[in-house]
Amino acid sequence: MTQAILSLRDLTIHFKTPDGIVKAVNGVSLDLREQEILGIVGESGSGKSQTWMAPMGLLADNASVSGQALFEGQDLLSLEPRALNRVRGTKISMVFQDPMTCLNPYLSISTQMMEGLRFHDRSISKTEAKKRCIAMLERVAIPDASRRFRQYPHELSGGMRQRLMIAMALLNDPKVLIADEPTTALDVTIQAQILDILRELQAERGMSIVLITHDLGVVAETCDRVAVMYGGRVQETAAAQALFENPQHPYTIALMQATPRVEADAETQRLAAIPGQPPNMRVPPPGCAFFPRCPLGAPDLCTAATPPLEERDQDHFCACYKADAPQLLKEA
Amino acid sequence: MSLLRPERSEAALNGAFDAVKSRSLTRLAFERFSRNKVAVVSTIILAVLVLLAIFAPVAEILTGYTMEFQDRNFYSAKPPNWEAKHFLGTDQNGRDIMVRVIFGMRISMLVALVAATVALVVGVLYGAISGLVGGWVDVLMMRFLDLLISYPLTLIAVIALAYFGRNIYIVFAIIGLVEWQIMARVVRGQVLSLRNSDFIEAARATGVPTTSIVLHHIIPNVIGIAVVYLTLTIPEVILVESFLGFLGLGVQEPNTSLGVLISEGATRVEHKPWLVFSPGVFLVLLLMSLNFIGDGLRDAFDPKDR
Amino acid sequence: MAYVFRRFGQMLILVVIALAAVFSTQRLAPGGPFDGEKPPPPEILANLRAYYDMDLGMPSQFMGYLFGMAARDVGQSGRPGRVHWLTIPDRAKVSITGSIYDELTDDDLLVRKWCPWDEWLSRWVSSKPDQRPLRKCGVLRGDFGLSMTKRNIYVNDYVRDGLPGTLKYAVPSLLFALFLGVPMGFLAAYFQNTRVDFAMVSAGMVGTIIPNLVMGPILIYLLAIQLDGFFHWLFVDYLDWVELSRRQRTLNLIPSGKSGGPIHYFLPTLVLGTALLGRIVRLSRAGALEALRSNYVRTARSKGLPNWLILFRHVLKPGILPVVTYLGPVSAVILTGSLVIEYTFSLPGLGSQFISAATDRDYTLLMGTTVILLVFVIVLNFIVDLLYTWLDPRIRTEGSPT
Ligand SMILES: Nc1ncnc2c1ncn2[C@@H]1O[C@H](COP(=O)(O)OP(=O)(O)OP(=O)(O)O)[C@@H](O)[C@H]1O
Ligand SMILES: [Mg+2]
Repeated sequence: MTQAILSLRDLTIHFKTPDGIVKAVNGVSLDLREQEILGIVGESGSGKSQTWMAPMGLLADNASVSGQALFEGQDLLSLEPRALNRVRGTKISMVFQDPMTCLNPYLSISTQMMEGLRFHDRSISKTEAKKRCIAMLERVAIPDASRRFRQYPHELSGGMRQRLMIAMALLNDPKVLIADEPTTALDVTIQAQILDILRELQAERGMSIVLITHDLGVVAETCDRVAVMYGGRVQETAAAQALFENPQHPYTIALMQATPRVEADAETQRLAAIPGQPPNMRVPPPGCAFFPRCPLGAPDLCTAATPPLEERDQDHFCACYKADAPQLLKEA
Repeated sequence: MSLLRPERSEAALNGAFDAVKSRSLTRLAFERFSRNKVAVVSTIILAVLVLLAIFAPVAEILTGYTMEFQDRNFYSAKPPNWEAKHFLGTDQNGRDIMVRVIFGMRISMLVALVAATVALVVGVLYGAISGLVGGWVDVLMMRFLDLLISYPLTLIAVIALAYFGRNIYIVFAIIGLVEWQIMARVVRGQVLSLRNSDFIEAARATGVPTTSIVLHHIIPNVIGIAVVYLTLTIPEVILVESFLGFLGLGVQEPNTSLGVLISEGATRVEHKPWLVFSPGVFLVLLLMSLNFIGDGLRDAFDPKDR
Repeated sequence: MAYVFRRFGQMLILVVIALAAVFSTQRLAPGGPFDGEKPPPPEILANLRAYYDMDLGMPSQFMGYLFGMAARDVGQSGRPGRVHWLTIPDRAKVSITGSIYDELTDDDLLVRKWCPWDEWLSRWVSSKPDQRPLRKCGVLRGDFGLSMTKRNIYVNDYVRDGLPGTLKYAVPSLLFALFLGVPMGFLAAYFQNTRVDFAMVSAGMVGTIIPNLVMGPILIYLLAIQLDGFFHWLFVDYLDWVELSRRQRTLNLIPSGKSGGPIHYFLPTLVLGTALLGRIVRLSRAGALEALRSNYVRTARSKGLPNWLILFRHVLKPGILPVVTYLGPVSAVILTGSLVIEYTFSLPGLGSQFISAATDRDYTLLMGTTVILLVFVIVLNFIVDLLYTWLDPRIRTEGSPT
């Protein structure tokens, strides 16, 4: 299709902790293409957030990173701080999960909005910055924007804070927006509103969005392409439609079975929880990370080495030794 | 919570789980503590000091000077003299400083121990009542504590000691009453978190009487944390005692304490530094080791801090 | 704001309770101010007791202490305890010279009445005690009464002499501890778990571990004596530099009495300040660490802001909040510490007055100094609350700290 704007190459993130090394992300290679919305799904702790915080240089101090994150011909991971500061916030920006703690409670919204704008472009006057901020607040449908602009974060509701975060991230007209579970904490109507806003803004500005989420429903509605992560690895990537129509990886299939579908009859539909626990990333299972919970797991084959991502179909990659997994699962 | 199945609440009730859990917790804490080098060294120093205090009379025997013996040849504070066995010098009245410092430390430790126990009792009672009764009583008691924290209680102790004499029991009680607030707060926090914990809920759901819950579940669990904070209270108490002694309000002759000895030397440091140095060094060692041990214990039991 | 005033009110109530407690303990405790070596003859004693209202019941004594007393006829009636409401305002100007003993044997009228503010002000202005009206206005009007052991001195004068002596060292040492401790704590947090961190925390700890009653003598010995001796040796004996006058030859670090240049602030401030330093370093380090690890700092970094801006804008406020809350308890630490430095350096101040009042049973002086010390505590707590509301917008709008 189109060109990649941000590509992760063999990204590996380990955290040093007193109780051992947490191998949070293990060799992720992914492309974010121009003008697409890329969905990232996976269980809690599968490394979704860390994978995308790494190119922004936002990992905790105890992290060690290897690999590359290529953006406009530069490797963001090896950029020195000043150069990185010119990229983040202007060309790539991020919306974090948990809007309640991501805004500084001690500073007014005006301060927090304007600082990103005016630091990167000193020529913007205060009044102009203010005008742009308020316009942006109105764009993300915050009512009574000029009053809100003067308030403090605790005076806003959760949904409003999330919209404020999005507005803040978009102030500098970035090329890439990384949205980390922007809707998880919100109720369904507000969730739909925010997703609408994201989609509109993407179309309007032609940016690329990484949408990290737990929710397959959100992915189906919003994304162009999807990557499924498990145990710090990408297990399957495909165009959204292809993935939903023809899932290849046993984990993806299990995930879909664990998700309620609207069209299914509520009474006949049985949700299948995935048995077992998510892997302990201090001592990840050898070979395929999903093996301990996989219904098709073959002891010798799957534990010998991690399965590589293979192209199953046009632009559809899957990391599983069992090429006929969907059939096998249907029969079982 | 009353929906809990009976087997589970029984399991919680017989306490087997918490016994196991708390034993292994203590083991873990002990391991963490023994990995903390500063704390271990402090423990050794403290042990030496405590032995010195316990066997204080040995110092009298070894040097041949008692606490009150006034050596005529060494009147008006003479520097250390090894031949005469005044290893740390003598004071204004020709008394041997080493012997006096060791006995003073003994008194300081004694006062600290008793006063800290007073603080422990008061603090635990206050905190436990506040946490157990809850409601507006709790709110009121905590408000009072908040205000008290920024209140110069030591000054009130000065007044009380000046008025009610310097009887050693009064000293115990008054110093104990100065240093109980943190203990009360910590105990209340612990009681509250216990009250809301599963196994207490379970016990309550199966109709175990309140007194027995308090006796068998709350008290044993509070004791642990109270002891940890006791080790942090003791240096505070020693400090208050030495402060009062320094101002001439603590223990009285013929007894002495580190604070009293320091105050005797403090104004003469220009010409007779040994008068203040020996008790000063012992006081600092004592406070330092106790503080590090207390910090070590707290970190070992509650590692999330820092 | 409502929160600040509520806190202020609570503190005030606590002060009144404390005053009542001190007031009643001193009167219930054995012994009294007048049983010194030579107790006064019984009739004078009766007059004295009447003058100080000690013949009344305790509640009325306390109310009298707080609000002042209407005029009482003491001498003429010879019956202590009877209260007359006098109507002779010009007799109010009975003055005393020297000891109150002589005056009272004259069987004179002692008159007190409500005191207008201008009179009270003029008393602070006029320094000659014998030009002042002998009357009681009550503590709430700023009248602490006459001292009980030195009966020609007003407690107000004591306080006026002592308070500057205490504040002179308390305020600089607090500022010293704050302006050194907070940056140290922030540095330690920013370089967490490095040598810088270790150095900052242990430097702060020195003052915590060495209590100020030991720190005082040690600093005198090291800085005022050894260092002085070294300089003397270096410049005078060894280098044979210049002829120096006796005064110039020493650093002259030890403060003496009232005379004192800026150099005399050095040692007491250091002693008091280091006692606070460790706590302040630890608290600001913890506050800054928490902020640095917080999600909102991550957001700020995601905006591409440089570290210095993040530190000053996003970390500063939450970082100093724990220090600000500690400023309340700090007042107690400073007060006890100032007792120690007043003793160690033989300085005049409220602390020594407080101690001597307590040991001599000078009830009025003790009450007066207690009031002043408590006012100090209250004022500091009030400032803390103001700072807190200024720093934390959540209190400003919601009315209580979280
Ligand atoms: N600073 C850290 N130190 C140690 N481990 C960490 C640290 N940060 C993250 N981890 C671990 O890395 C793993 C991946 O974390 P990540 O935040 O990417 O999960 P996630 O997929 O975003 O989950 P969620 O859906 O809950 O947000 C987790 O197991 C987490 O515990
Ligand atoms: Mg996440």
